[in-house]
Amino acid sequence: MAILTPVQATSLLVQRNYITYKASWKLFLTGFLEPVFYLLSIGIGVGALIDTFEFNGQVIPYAEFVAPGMLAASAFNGALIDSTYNVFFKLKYDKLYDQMLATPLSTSDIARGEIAWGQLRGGTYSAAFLLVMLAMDLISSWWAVLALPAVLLIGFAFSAVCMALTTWMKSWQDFDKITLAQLPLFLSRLRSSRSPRSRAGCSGSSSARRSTAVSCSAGSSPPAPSPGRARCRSATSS
Amino acid sequence: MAATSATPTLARGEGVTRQFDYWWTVYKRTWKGSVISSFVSPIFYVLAMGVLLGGFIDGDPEQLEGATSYLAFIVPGLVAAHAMQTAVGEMTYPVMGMIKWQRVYDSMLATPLRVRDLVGAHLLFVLFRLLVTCAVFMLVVAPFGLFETWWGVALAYLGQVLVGMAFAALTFAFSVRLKSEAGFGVFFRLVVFPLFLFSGAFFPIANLGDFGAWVARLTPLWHGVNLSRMFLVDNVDWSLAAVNVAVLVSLAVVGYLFAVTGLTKRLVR
Repeated sequence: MAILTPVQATSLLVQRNYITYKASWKLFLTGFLEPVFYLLSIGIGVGALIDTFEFNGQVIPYAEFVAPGMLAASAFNGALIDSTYNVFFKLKYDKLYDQMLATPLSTSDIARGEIAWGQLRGGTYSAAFLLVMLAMDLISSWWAVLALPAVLLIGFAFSAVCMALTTWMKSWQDFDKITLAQLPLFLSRLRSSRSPRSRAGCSGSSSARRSTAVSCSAGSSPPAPSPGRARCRSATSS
Repeated sequence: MAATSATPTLARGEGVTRQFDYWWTVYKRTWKGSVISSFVSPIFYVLAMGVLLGGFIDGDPEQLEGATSYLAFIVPGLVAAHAMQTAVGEMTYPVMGMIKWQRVYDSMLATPLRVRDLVGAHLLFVLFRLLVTCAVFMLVVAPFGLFETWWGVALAYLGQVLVGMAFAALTFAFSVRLKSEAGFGVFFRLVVFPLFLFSGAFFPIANLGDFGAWVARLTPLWHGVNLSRMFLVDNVDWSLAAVNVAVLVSLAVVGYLFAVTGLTKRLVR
């Protein structure tokens, strides 16, 4: 039965996602803008209100403090939405995975492929965001390049966990539970905002309204920016 | 479609009131889903941004548009922005569903109801949602002791509901013209999200520079944020408030008219 090696199967899945996403490239492109907007607003706008911000005993501009966290956020945007809303949609409405399983693909091939795609997407956003940080002079060392693998690791962990959780989801309403679980994470991170290790997940706010939204087919689900969307301005300075 | 052939006619306003039971049924079935996103998470946001991040920010009224703390500054903005998001949320996918997926509007139009009745009733439902959501938000933040005067609270509340209604009508007009839901994702990211971040909810628009501040003043959300904040921190410029109200009311009216014409073109032809 083993016609495909795991690597071949994974790359098939990635290729499939690439083809579908080509149709909604606008959503793909604008996904990258979110953390940039956040950086401009919270980092620069709110940051202007903060005279001195101390981090590990060093006084730095607030923008420099939050930017690495937003870098992580940009990876989440891609990875998390892909592994929750989009997987749920494909699982329940599109029956896409049923179709795939009728081919030589196995369930682990599908998981690997979807997560690999999420990583590619998240990695692209992160790399673009690093370039923005560079352009805004928020990077002070070449070691910043190492932030990329670190962010990918976080993205991988969240992709994997969220995809696993999604397989238990029965309805869109269940996504509220994810939001609820992530809010304390978000809060605890801000409270210990001086610790460089704290981190949190970005939650997509899921309202019951979205149950009417047959929206996440090809592109990502809409990032309704409710205050509840716990964005990641985390201090994951790696 | 069938709207023109209907023989029985409805009195003025009757077409709208006849849909109360429909929307009430919808609300009874869906309110639970909105509890976390509407009520719980905004409060967490107030705590995280206002209380925790606010701890790093000096409560300088000169810098904070008259507010004596960052918490007092951000809460009025957050409630106004929340009103916008509630309105936009109610007017994007649900409207697309009514037109395209469940075709409820089509079935309503097969009765003596006219397009303007549908639009009016749907907007009334959003008004109800806004009244509840903003009231709950304001009640929850009340214990923080941010409210200066009782009449300021009442007027700020009306301002929040008003900005919500302006966005509801405008988004309605946009949604009825959209053929596919794919446009919503881009709309959220390029319109709603930047408005949320740059309309003065999180920081004074003066921080955007002269040009940026003027751009911000042109956005509808700023007018709502400004109304909400001026009254809540008791730093009222009445002529500016009048301008804010005038802008929001005209946007709501324009949005309503465009929603009616757009829906007529789409469903009645």
